[in-house]
Parts: sequence; C-alpha cells; structure tokens
Amino acid sequence: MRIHSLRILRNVPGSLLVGSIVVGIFLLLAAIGHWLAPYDIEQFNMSARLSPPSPEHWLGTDRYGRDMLSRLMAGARETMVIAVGSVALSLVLGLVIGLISGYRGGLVDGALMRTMDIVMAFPSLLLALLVVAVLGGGTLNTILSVGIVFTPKIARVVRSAVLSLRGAAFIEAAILRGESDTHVLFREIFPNIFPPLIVETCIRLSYAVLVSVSLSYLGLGAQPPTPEWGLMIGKEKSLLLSAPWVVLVPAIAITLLILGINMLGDGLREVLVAKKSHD
Amino acid sequence: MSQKRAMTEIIARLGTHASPTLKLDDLFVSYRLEEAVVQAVRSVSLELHPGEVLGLVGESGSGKSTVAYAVLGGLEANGFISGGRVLFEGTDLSKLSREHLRSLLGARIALVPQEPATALNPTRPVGDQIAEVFRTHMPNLSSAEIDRRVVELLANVRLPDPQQLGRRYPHQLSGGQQQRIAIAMAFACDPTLLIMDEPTTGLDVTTEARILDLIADMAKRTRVSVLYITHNLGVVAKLCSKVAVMYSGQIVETGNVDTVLAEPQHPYTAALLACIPKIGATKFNSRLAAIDGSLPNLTSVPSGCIYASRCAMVTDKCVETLPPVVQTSSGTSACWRAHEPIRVAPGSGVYQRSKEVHSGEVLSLVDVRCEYGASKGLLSRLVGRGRPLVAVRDVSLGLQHGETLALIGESGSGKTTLARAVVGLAELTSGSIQLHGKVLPASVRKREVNTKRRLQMVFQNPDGSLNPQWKIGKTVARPLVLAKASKTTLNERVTQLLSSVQLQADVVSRFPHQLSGGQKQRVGIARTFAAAPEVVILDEPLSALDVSVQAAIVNVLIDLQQHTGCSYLFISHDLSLVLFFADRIAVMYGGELCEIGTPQDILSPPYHPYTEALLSAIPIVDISVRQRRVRLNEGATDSSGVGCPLASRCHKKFGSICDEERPPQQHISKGHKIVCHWPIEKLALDDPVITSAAHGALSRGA
Repeated sequence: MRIHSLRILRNVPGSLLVGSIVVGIFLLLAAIGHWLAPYDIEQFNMSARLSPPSPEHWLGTDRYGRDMLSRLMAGARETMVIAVGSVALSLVLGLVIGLISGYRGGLVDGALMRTMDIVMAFPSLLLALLVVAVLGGGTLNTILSVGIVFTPKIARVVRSAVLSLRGAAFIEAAILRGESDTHVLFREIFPNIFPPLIVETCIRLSYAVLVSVSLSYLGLGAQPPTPEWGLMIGKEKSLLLSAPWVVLVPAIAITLLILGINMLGDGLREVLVAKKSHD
Repeated sequence: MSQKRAMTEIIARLGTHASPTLKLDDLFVSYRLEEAVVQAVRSVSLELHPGEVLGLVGESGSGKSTVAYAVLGGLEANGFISGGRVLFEGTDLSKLSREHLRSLLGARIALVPQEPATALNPTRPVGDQIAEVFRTHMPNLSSAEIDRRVVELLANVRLPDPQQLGRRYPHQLSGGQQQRIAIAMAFACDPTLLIMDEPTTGLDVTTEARILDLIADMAKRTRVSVLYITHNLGVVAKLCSKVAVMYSGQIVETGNVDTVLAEPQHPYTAALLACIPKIGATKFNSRLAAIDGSLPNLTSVPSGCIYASRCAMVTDKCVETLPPVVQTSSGTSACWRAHEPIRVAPGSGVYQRSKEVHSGEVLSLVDVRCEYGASKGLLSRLVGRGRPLVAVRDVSLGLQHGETLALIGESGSGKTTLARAVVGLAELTSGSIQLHGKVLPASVRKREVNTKRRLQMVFQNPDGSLNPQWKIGKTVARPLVLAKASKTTLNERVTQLLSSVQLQADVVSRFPHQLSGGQKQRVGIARTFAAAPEVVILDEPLSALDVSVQAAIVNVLIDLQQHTGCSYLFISHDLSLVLFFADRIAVMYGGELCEIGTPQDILSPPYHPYTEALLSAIPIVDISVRQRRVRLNEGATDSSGVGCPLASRCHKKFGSICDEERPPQQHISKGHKIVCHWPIEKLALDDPVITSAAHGALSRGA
C-alpha cells in the first residue's frame, strides 16, 4: 500500500497540486488569520477612511478605515467554518440516509429517496433562505440550513455507490457467513464508497462557500461587524466605482477559494476514480 | 464480364497457392507503458496458406490477440510493431497507408469479433449493416443486387427465413444468431484472410458446436485462410488443420493439429494438455497436472527460454540461452530438448472415497420453484404484469454426505438460480430446502447464524468475491473471528487455510488487486472453508480462469473435500470437467431437470436428447475420441410449463405430446433418471455419442 501511494504522489495531477495549495492557504488563514492580521479588525480609523492600497494598508481600508487585509484574513475563518461545517453536516446525514436507502431497498428506500427528492426540488439558495427565514440568521443557522440543503445530493451519490456494490460477490459472501447489517454497511461497503464520496464532498464544499456568502450578501447569514466576505460585498456594493478595492478584495478571495476547491476536487477525481478503474 | 472475373479469380487463386496468404516474419509488438516498454509479442513467425484454418492458441496474456490486432492494424494507441513484417499476399501491411489498409479491411481481410453484441450497431437492422459492407467496398453494385446478396449471405450462414431476418435488429436475435450475422458480414466480399477472435467464447456449447460447423463449412467452401484465435484446445481439435501454441508472447510450437495434440513436442503444450481432463478419466483414477508458477513479467524478458521457470524439464542451458526453433515432424518447436520424450510434472494423489460417503442426505431440495417478476404488490396485481418467468420449475434433488453433485446446463437453464435459492439469496416461490431433514427459512436473512455457516458458496468471478479494501489476511480470518476463534490460534489457522489452497503465508498482507485471478479464487476458497461448511456451493468457480489455473483449483477442491468430508454442489457448463470431478451429474434445461445419474450413466445410452446433444458438443482435445454428430434445432426454450421445455429445439422430438404434456420421470437404474416422453427402451437403442477410436465405447470402461 505504501508503494502504491508513493507512486500516486509522483503522478499528482497539476490541478490537485494547485488546488490543495490554494485551499491549504485559506485553511491556514481560517485557523490563524486572526493572529496574523496586522491590524485589529474592528478598529475604526476615521483619518484613513477608504484609503486605496498602500504600504501601510496593502489592500486598502473600508469606509470606517478598517484594514481590508486584516478583515480578509479574519473573514476566512467565518466562511470556512460555514462551508466546512455545513458540508460535514450534510456528509453525516447523507451518508446515513444513502447507506440505509441503498442497502435496504424497498419501502425504506422509496420513502427516504422521495423525501430527498422533495428537498432537491427547491433551488438550494431558495431553500437555504427559507430555512434561515424560519430559524433566524447567524453562523450556526447558516450551517444548519446549507447542511440540510446539501444532504440529498450526498445521499444520492452514496446510494448509487451502495447499489453498485450491493450485488457484489464479497457482500453476498459476508451475508452468507452471517454478518450483521451494520458490519456489512460500515465494514464492507463503507470503505469502498470513499472515492466518489470524497469527490462529491469537494464539489459540495465549493457550493457551500457560494451559498453561505450569498446568504450573507443578502443579509441573512453572518451579521455585522463579522468580517464575512459575502457581507463585506453586500454592505459595500455601492462603493464599487468609487473605492473598488473594498468590494473586489473579498470577491476575488471568494473566486480564488472556489476555484481552488474545484481544482482540488477535479484532481482527486482524477487520482481516485482513474486509479479505481485501472485496478 | 462475369466469366472473365471468374477466370481472373481462378488464376489469382492458383497463383497464390504456392505463396502464403499471410506471413508473419519475425514479428515483434510492444506496448508503451508509464514505466517501461513491454514486448508483448516477440519473434513470431507464421505462415498461413489458402484454405488453411490455423488455430492460434494460448492462455490469457500469451499475446495471441495482440498478434491478430497487429495484422489488422488495430493495436491500442500505445501499441506498435517494433520489428518484423506482416505480409499479406506479399505486401507488408504495416507499411501501407491508412486508406489503402482500410480498403483491404472488410473486403480482402475480415474480422469476426469475440462479442457480436457489441460489434453490431444496435440501432440498425442487421441486413442493412451487411449491405453497408457492400456499399463501402463494391460501390458499383445496384441496390437490388446488394439486397439479393444480403439474403444469399444470410441463407449461407443458415439463418432461418433470411428475407425477414435481415429486417430485425441485433437485440431481437440470440447470441448465436448475432454471431452468424457477424460471420455473414465477414464473408460478404469473399475475403482471402479471415481473423476470428474467440468467436464462440461467449456462447453455450451446443450453440458453439453449430457455429463451429458453420465456420468449417464456409472455410471449406470459399477456401479462405482462417487465423482462429482461441484459448480452447478442444475447439482447435474440432476446427483447425494447423495449430500454433503461444506462451507469454512467443510461439512455442507449431504443427498439424493431429500431431501436436497427440504428440506435443514442447513441454508447455504437453503441460497444457495435461491440465485438461481426458474423457473417461475421473478424480478416482487420475489427477490433473497443473502448471506451477505464473507468467513472467515482460518488462524484462529473460535471456533464456520464456517457459524455463515453469518447465518440468528445465536445464541450465534453458535458463541461459534462447532455445532454437527446431523442425518437428509437422512443424516447429522452440525447445532445447525438443526431440526428447516430453515429461510433465506428474500430479500425485487421487481422490479416495471416504467411508462416510453416501451415508445419508445432507441437503435435500423438494419441489423447488423460483419465479422472477412475480410481484406481490397491490398495484402490480391490479395492473397485471403478466406471467412471471419461472427460472426453476419444481426441481427435487438430494445431496449425500461427502458427495459432489454437479448441476450442468446452458445459460438460462436455472442452475445458478437453484444454487442461489439453496443459500437463500434467490427467492423461493414454493417447495423447500432442507438441511439434515430440517426445513430452512427461504431467505438467508431469516436463517440462524450457524445454519448460514454450514452452507457456503464459492463465487464465479474471483475479482468481485474479495473486498478490494481488505487485506487477504483479514478476509480469510473474518469467518474465524465471527465464529469467535481464539486470538492465539487465529494466525495459525489462517496460515493453515492458505496452505490448504497452496498459497504462501505472506499473501496475508496483500490487497486483492495485487493477486492474479487464480490466487484470488484460492483466497475465496480459503475463506469459504474458514467457516467450516458442510455443504459448499461452487458457482462456476473455474469458468473465469485459464486452463492451467483451472486444473490447480480442481486439485485444491478435491483435496479439501478429501480432508473435510464436505459435500459439493458444483454448478458448471463444462461437461468434460464435470465428468472428471463429480460423483453425480444433474442435467438441467429451461429450469427443469432432464437427467440425473453418475458420470457413467450420463456417458452411455439411454440418453436424454439434451444430454445427447451436450455430449456431442463438448470440445474434446483427445483426437482419438469420436463424437457422434447430434445438433439441437434453432429455437427458443418453451417456458410455458405446459409441455417439455426442449420441445421446439429437440432433434428427436417424440411427437405433439412433447408440446402438450409434461414429460414423465423414468427411472432406469438406482439413481439414474431421465425426464422424457421417449420410452426408455427406445432411447437405450441409441449409439454411444462418445467413442474411442481404440477401445470402442468409453462409457463402461471408466
């Protein structure tokens, strides 16, 4: 196995490399961006309002004179927490639903999948808006709403992977020697659905970033003075012509993050799925 | 005009008679891989003369298909001819432009592919697809003339009602009919060279026999040269006049089929022949000689003989220097010891019948019926989905303690469904399955853990039967862990189990994808026996494996039965193997039992008509054996359950009673039963199907 992974490392696709570096930087920012930030993110500085990028403020300042670079670095945490949190939630829910649905089949499968179909019938942003409107805004509720919205997609991927394995001889062999359903599901099937699951998770992650910043942009996600990127764009969009850096800096950050995650997902797909078909 | 064409054709044929149609001259083919260049075919020289049918035979990985696709210019993108010449009627095909080659392919050189289902376009009528060949290669023909020729071709490949059949789509035809279409296409423009890539491998034996008849007939009529690629020496014996045996990219032996199969001059050919059970041999009187070892890794081709590492006659010279190609009585042999008597690593230890055998029924099947598509839902009952498909119709069987009972039949005979019903994986519609006289719940989910353990199954496809994410050690140990085996003896037991299937203990730390097909199947068997089963269902465990590996697995299974005293229910479509391996044989057709008896009963008259056709269709390697020609009719299995399922295909249909009434069970002797309308006295008058040229009827002697 070790030799195997080394060989993969040698043939890492470029997209995987670039993607993981970009995502890695953002993760790092999310973890320690608060301490690295050169200025206090909530420190008003009325004398330096809306100053363009300069040696003191590399990315300029906003309408209250707060340092954009510092807010960007600190904002990474907010965005990443929502994205990772909601995907983790949908992963757990989707995994359980997909495994049970695919393995059990019949009525259970029908009931679960039709419920998922109903959830999927709504556009994800609309549904997230609905959930937030009912539960109220804030980080936790955003995680909840985006997590619920993405659950059916993960569940479908897991279910189809389980279905393709359910008739496999090694699963039948396990049933024939008297293994319990939990053993078959989690010991036999689960390790084998990893590749498609990881790829799907990456795709969901980039969507989660998009949905969460959209919610904040609309004023339903994070609330001021949180340095959330979507919020930063939403609040200051009127400044796009007079002080473009205030809007463009978080917008570029979002774009970079999503591109990075997509490249990571593509790269992983290439490595995991291609490898599987080779074996 | 046409007279003139006929004349030029005759002259052309006469002219080419002396020179070969196809000549491979020191051909090398390589594949570019990520790490290295692999020489998949090395120094292959062959001559194929007009009217000859040459069998290019070898196991998987021998490079036989690579040779064929090199001739056709159809190698994979990373493959290329790295040396030598491919001469077709004197011109080097590898030097031709793509356009020139394309004008030859389909016209002068034709291919019959392995799987006609994928070679035919599913969206167009088959007649139209044959017409396409004419439109491409003979643009001057009028459409009326093309239509006439298509119908003529369809009649030539003996398809019924050629006018109508040409309008059908591929999915409306059976596998055998599809292959006939592919053959018709290949013969469309009177090719001089025909390449056939395992054209009968996916077909049932009785269908295979009919297709082979057709190919032999067409080849004789048109005097086309045929390069027939196959892994099956029995098919070579039936069809070919010449044979070339390939091993790991090289031709080891060539010659006339009769000479090579009777007196092989290369140790590999001899070893390969020893892997195949002879008709009349059984596990009680002989043992198959498997070939030890595995194919060499071709990234670094050894300097000596490629077969040296597995050869029973190996000397120092064989390992060091490439053997010369020596002339033999009818061909060549690439061996340093070609003119010495050939020795094969002898198999040792025959099966000893233990005292316990036949001391009571372990497993009993009583009137087992399995139906598909019989939905119990309210909605489907209201809508009325129509008649369910009966996969197994009221079959009763008993399996004795320590016995091997073989279930044999074609695809669709219900043998696999029956086996799956026994272990509780297929739904039982009615009837019962009893273990030691106790009725088992139909579904595996409702059976007790200890019952499940006692009924185990070895699966057909070794690739799918092992969890790809589990190491071998974990896989084999799992049934022991489940049975709460003590931790201290666990490793010892796993090693013991692995050695009982002839695997080294170090495989425990490997993953399935690091093993060969044969090794995976051994692991599957070790896991099965880790559960200490009483009855093992063997679901075609050999059909995905090469002959040499098959022999080894058969030996392993025989030894395990000897040691554990378990009973086997052996599902197979290979009658010659079953005659060697089984104590009793149950022949199934269309979900019903036709005949059951010992191998001797099955081999000698009276026969059930279907058994008779099966025996006649087996591809037998031994050329001293004669088979009486019995061919089933083209037709569909009757699944209505009113008459006999074989009625419309039976070659000796008794009368309209066959369509109207269920055939009766007729007992011939203890344990021998035939289900047929024919009176037994009449069936007993049949001549034996398989006879030995030397000893007459084989059936009694065994």
